[in-house]
Amino acid sequence: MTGTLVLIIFILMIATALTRSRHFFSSISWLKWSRKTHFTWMKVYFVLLLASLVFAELLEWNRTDTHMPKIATEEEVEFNLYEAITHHLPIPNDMIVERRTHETNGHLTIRVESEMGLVLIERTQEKGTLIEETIFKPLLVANDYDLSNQLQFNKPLWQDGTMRVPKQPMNELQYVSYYDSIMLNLFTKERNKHFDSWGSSSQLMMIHLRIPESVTIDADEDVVEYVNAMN
Amino acid sequence: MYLHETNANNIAMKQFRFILRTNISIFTILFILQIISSIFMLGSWSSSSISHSYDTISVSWNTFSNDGIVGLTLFWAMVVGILLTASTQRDQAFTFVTNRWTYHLGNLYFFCFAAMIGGASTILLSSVPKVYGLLRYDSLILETTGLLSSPMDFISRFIVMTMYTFLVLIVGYTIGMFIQLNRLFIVVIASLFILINFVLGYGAYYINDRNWFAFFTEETSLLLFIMKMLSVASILFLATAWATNRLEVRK
Repeated sequence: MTGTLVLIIFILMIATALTRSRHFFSSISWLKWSRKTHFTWMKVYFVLLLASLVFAELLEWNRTDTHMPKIATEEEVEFNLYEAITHHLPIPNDMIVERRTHETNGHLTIRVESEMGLVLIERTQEKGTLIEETIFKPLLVANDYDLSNQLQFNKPLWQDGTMRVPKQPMNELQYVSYYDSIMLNLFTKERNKHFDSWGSSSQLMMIHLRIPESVTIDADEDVVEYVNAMN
Repeated sequence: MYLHETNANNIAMKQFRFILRTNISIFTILFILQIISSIFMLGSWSSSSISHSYDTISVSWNTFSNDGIVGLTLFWAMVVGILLTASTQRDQAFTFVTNRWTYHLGNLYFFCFAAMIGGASTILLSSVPKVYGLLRYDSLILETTGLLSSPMDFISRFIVMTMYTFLVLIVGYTIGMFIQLNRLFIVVIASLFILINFVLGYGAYYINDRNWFAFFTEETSLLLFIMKMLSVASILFLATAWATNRLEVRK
């Protein structure tokens, strides 16, 4: 409300000042150009603008889109990986980094070096000592763009019946974007984009382990989670 | 029967040419304003940064747009609308054998021309920050379409900007004319703005919120948008023409 009042007062002050001045136009004639010069300047300005438009179009046309992050769909943004794993729901293949199996001697030790990955353990009724591991990539959606593929991460390391989740690398992403004013985009494809609002969501790398009941586990309860999504 | 038959439209066209010739410098001012705004705009960023996942992910997002150019062009339109109601302008208009109606009509033609120049220059100038961004940043994300990639979007932006400029010109003209008529209209216009704002809700600056801009900004049909713009502009223009019909020619 205060902003509206300030705007109104400002406009009315200008209006009063301008309408009271009989010589405003002569006072702004600091541009002592002839009429012909003004018209020429107008033509030159538009020629320059057209040249700029052509140049911008050529640059846009010739650039490759390989570095452009893809726009995340609503399904991708709303997809809950944790729920999908625990409820055995279908998971898109592009979220899976790797599926591996590891033979153990009946005992597994899990070491997580920092809280940067979520280890989900599912105990299976199967007999044996073979552990199935599925690694899901970390996810990041910012300003409706899926930046997951830009993230670097370290996969778990397996050695002698021990799984070690190493410290994850620091990801510092920087983006620059340009948009046309929201006012002008009323009837374009960008109409519903909210350039003035910032939104992002992320998800840690997840490791899903299917471990037979016969295998004993040594792991810190704080860094692993047992899920009861038995078949 | 006269040797030279003429009509209101011909006289208004002559007046339009006269107004254009005498006020051509205001376009130079617009272009200078636009150049200044685009230079300053290149350094004005809207930045957001956020950390995620136990600080292992840090995203910094910088955006820039042509908001500044649009805003300055509309400000210019408001000033021009008011300026054309200045007493010197009205005096000059009666260089011709004319009446108040053709004077208003001549100004209307000028507003149409000015709106098209304002709209076209704003849309074309938007390619300058784009060029700057594309040359400077390899990974620039263009959240807009170009002339070649989406010609209809480009044309719609031009139409929308032209319509906004035209409406602001008419609003400025109306405000100026009413203030010329009587200084008390300053209070009346201010009260009217506040009243409209109260009736239609708060937060008049947030597009897509419940406010008096929403009448235009929530429109989904370009044709209806144009009709709404022209209707409001016509009401304001006719009200101005009717109210100032008896305004003195020269003090």
